[in-house]
Amino acid sequence: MTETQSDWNKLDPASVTTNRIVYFIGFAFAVLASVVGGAIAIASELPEPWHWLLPVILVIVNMILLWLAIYWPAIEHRNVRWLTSPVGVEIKKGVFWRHQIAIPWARVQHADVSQGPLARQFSLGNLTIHTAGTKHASIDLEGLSHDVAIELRDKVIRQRKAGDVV
Amino acid sequence: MSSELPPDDIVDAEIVESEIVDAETDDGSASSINANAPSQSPPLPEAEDRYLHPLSVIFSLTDLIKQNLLPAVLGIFGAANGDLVYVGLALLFFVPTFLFSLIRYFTIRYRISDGELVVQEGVLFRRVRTVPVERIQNIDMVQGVLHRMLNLAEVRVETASGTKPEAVLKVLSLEEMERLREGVLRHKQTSHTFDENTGEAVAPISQDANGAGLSKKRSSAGELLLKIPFSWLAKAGFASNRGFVLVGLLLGFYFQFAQGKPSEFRVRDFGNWQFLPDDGGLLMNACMIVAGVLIGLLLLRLLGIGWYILRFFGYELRQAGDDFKISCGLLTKVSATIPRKRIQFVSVHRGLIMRWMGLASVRIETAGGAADNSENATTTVARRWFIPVLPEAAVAEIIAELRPGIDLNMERYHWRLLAKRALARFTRIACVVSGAFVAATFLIFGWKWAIAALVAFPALILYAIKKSRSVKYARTDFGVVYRSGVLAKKTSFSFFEKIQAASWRQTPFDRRWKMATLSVDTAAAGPAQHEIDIKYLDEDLAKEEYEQILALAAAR
Repeated sequence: MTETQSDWNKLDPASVTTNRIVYFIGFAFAVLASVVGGAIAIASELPEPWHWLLPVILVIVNMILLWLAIYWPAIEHRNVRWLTSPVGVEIKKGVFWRHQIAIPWARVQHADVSQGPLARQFSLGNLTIHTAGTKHASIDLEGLSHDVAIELRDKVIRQRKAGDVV
Repeated sequence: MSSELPPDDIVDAEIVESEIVDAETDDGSASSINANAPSQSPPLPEAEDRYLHPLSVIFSLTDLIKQNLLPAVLGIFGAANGDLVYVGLALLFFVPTFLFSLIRYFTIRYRISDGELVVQEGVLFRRVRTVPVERIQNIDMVQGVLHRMLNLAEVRVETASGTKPEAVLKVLSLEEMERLREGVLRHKQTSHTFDENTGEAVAPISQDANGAGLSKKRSSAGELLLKIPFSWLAKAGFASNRGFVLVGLLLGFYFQFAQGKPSEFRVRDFGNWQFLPDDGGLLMNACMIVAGVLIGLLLLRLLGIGWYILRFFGYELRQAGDDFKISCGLLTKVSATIPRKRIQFVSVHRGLIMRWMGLASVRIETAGGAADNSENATTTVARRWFIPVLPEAAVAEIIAELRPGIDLNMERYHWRLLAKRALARFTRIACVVSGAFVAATFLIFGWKWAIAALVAFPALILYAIKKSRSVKYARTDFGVVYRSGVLAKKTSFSFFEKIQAASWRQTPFDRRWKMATLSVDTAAAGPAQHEIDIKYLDEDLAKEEYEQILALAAAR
């Protein structure tokens, strides 16, 4: 365990930036919705406690969302690791709900690399590994640098043994 | 036989090519070639287009009506009321769709050539589907009553991909179906020998079984492994909860139609019945209710027995070389073939009543048809109910046939239990749940009932104790074995070469309790309803086992 610890790779740091952008877009929508919703609510003369409580709640919720938009992508990034070993690929994810999955090389059916518009700007790529399994029929690794994703895909396909595994 | 094949294949391939050219230019000439085709090579049905049986029309019509019940009912309704508009609408809907389906059914043609099953359909938009014979998982057959009277069958060809059969041929004559099966089987055999010559890595078990099986294959029916007598089916039906499903349906109808006069059906109205004596009312009523419940339960069980007999009457499991063949059914007859090397997962289920009677059922999973959890006859029999019932003592023997060479002496396995802290965790949950239950009872019904509800505490705590002891996990030399269940016990076997991925996960609660969930993914996980997803293991054990499973799965 200890000697493999150093082999664990992180995602590309740029993925923090792209995630942050996505989160901030979400945050902007939340602010917009709160302002509009809050204005309507106040205009429609709410019963006593709510006409001041509601704005307070909305402000607190938005503060929390802002905090998440700023810090969460970095926290998430710190907790995603991946590793290729002679036996297969392993991926670790999760901040509170943790999870680690391993796919032996021979069980990989195929692998794709995809890129969204934002990811393209930062030359990032998503790797999707497909197996013949059920629950984990496809495993995503989002936020690799595009070159690493391509390299990893080629490695996955090279390592996969020929033959029918089902 | 195999020495004759290559030249024939070449000739066949040429025929195919010429046919395709013809088919592209003109449909008529293609069919005329077909008319001549049978005389060219009678023993080999390959490369010669085959059509569905003409009586397919009837079945396509009944299917059409079944799928479009609303317009059909409207039409009949309209006709009954003399309202011709509805009849006209129904006809407007049915006639074109029926014509389309007619055209569709009569343009479907299939052939086996170059080790591929080619299914072609459509007139304007032609679709050609090519399935390599090597990839065909099984050819299943379903026969309803009408099919059986006419000696026809619905044939499904399945591959590992997706949830639906790759090709459904509705309907073929039995002869034709046997031809198709033979054609596929022969191709598989020749390609297997090819594999052996080139030394291609095929799963080792299936390979030597294949070698042994070739001689057996000559008798096409195969060797009888298991025959289920009527009495076992009756017992299994008695033990099953099938009846509840049917009663659920009946209750639905009841509430739908009895809404207008609810008072007639209330239990306390029993007391108003004229023949009951006025004084002994309470006791009598109690007896009546108990008797009613007992009769109801008995009826439920009878329904269960009925379902089992309808589905599995005359069940036979045969082994022909490397394939297992199942056939059963009283009215709708199903026969399915399952290649041994496609078996991903084996699961033994023993319900409470079945355990009392010393019976068990065996379920398997094969790739293909994964997410199809419906009661569809073929899927149901071939996987979910691979063996609907057999004596517990015979289970080991059958599993040994499914996977030769595995050690089934479970006493020798190194069983691992849940983390010791699991009991404390379960007990805590049990206390919280029963506390909530008692509180709710108190709030709704008052303190008398709340005292009665206190029973929840010992009951749930007992369940927690039982549950913490019921889960067992063992890593053996062939794969992972998992047992669970307090009342209905399940034991499942997975095999390292079929394990697609291993994983562990932890919730924040798990981390506090130093526990983790160990999970193993296989193809087609579902029909056996016993996913290997073991919660509440000791954290270190789960992570260690995860590493071990990865290493062992990768080595196969």
